[in-house]
Amino acid sequence: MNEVFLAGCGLACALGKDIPSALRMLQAGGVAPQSLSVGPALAWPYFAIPDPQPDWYARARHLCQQVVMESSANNRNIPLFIASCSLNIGAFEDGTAPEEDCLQFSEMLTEWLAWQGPVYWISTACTSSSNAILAALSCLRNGHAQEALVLGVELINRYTCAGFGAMQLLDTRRPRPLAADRAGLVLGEAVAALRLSCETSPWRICGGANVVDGCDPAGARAEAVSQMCQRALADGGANADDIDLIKLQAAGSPGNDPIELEGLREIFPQLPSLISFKAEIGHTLGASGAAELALLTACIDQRIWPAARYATDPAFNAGFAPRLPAVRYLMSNILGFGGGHATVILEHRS
Amino acid sequence: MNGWQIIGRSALNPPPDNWRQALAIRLGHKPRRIGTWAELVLYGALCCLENAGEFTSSASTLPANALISLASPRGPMQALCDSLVEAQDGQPLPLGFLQGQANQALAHLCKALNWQGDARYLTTRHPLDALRLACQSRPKGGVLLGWVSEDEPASSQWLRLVPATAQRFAPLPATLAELMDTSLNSFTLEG
Repeated sequence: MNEVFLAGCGLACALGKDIPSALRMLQAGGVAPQSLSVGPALAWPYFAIPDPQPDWYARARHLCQQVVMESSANNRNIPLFIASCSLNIGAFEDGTAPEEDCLQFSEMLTEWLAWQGPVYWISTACTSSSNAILAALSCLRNGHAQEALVLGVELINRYTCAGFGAMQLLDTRRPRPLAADRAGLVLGEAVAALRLSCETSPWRICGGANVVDGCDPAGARAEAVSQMCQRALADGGANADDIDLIKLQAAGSPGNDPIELEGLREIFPQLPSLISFKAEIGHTLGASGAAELALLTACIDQRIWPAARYATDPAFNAGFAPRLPAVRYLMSNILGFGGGHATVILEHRS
Repeated sequence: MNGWQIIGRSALNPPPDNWRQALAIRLGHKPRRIGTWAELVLYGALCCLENAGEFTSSASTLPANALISLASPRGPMQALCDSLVEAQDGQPLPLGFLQGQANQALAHLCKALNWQGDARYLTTRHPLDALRLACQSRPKGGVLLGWVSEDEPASSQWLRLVPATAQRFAPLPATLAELMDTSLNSFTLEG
């Protein structure tokens, strides 16, 4: 089985249109969410990418091309794993006629990137890009390719925000993961590219796991979180004691935040250092697995760490790492709709 | 050798007229609050596992280390379009919003099987792309692969595949229809 490495990353998110801008903004204290109107007298906070082009497709094209370039994915013959759940819904809201063919957007993406290799579009809601990473990892591990690109794409649209609002899952203020007064998620947009390669580089992707549990189609289950961790550790050849840092899903959900911690504590009685990026970039849904991993590894590489803005709920007896911990192994979780629980484990080889 | 044995099939292309009643019998109840596409997913998957001897009267023996790989050219597009229309006035109904998410069908299927494990959804024009990707990851418990479309005529075509180490395999056929042919018992991705 081949070893697989994270060889390059690109990211456009609310913090900035590329990784250096995002890190600068994070260091400067981050950004507040904007307001997204979803209907008459109805608006929700939303973390938008600071790129105000009015044409939805032109903006999507620019952002996708830019993050792929940032990830140094120069070989267009490798497998491309697109991860998205809201597709091009935002384009319809700007007055363009809805496409009957929902594959048209992934084919447009392929054309924008002049992609020649096989293209797979994975859509498992919030876990989409985590599952894309796992699929690409299998592909490289088992020798079916030497390099692959994961592209998480979740762009602004009123429909998804309205849907989450209708399900009473959104906060009306900036999200506060793990805080006592957390009141829900705030959505955001992101485009993230992760270039996976068999060529050695500092971040090795050890393994991961995806566990779907049908008991709650809209939320997480502690037992499934534990199962996800166990499977990922076994797949990655790591022990619970090896994990130095866990990037939580923790989005500010009153229900899911404690469930995630409960599930983790089954495997990690002493929790490792914790971090969440939902207060910085929002929940970027299908792009979140790739976007948060790109941001996390960049933070560690550049030794930049988000400042804690608020106290976490004392009842959790768990807080975010106040400063960058020493990290060899990290775990990056995403939980989501459809009973999805996914994680990947990375090792930093200095 | 990346060989695969086909131990179960359901080639519902289209499903029988009474498929909804047949689904209710298999589930032990009438499915509620799920869209047509997700119902087709459930019906085809349960028929396939029944054919493989891995599902009887609401009990499944699908191994925990199997991979469920669901693919479709459009997914629950009708539910999504209906929900988009609802949302023109502000908010979609929560149920419609959920029904427009393809991976909700995976949650319903996992629940129906009382199973927890790796499951994914791909949107593609080519069912064999989904098959190749699933088989490349070599899940030890094999693959439950589905190709489901609600466009008329609706179809829900499933294969239950397990890794095999036999000596000779036929090469992977060029079409899903050939894979669904009961005369084919095994194949390899190589060669």
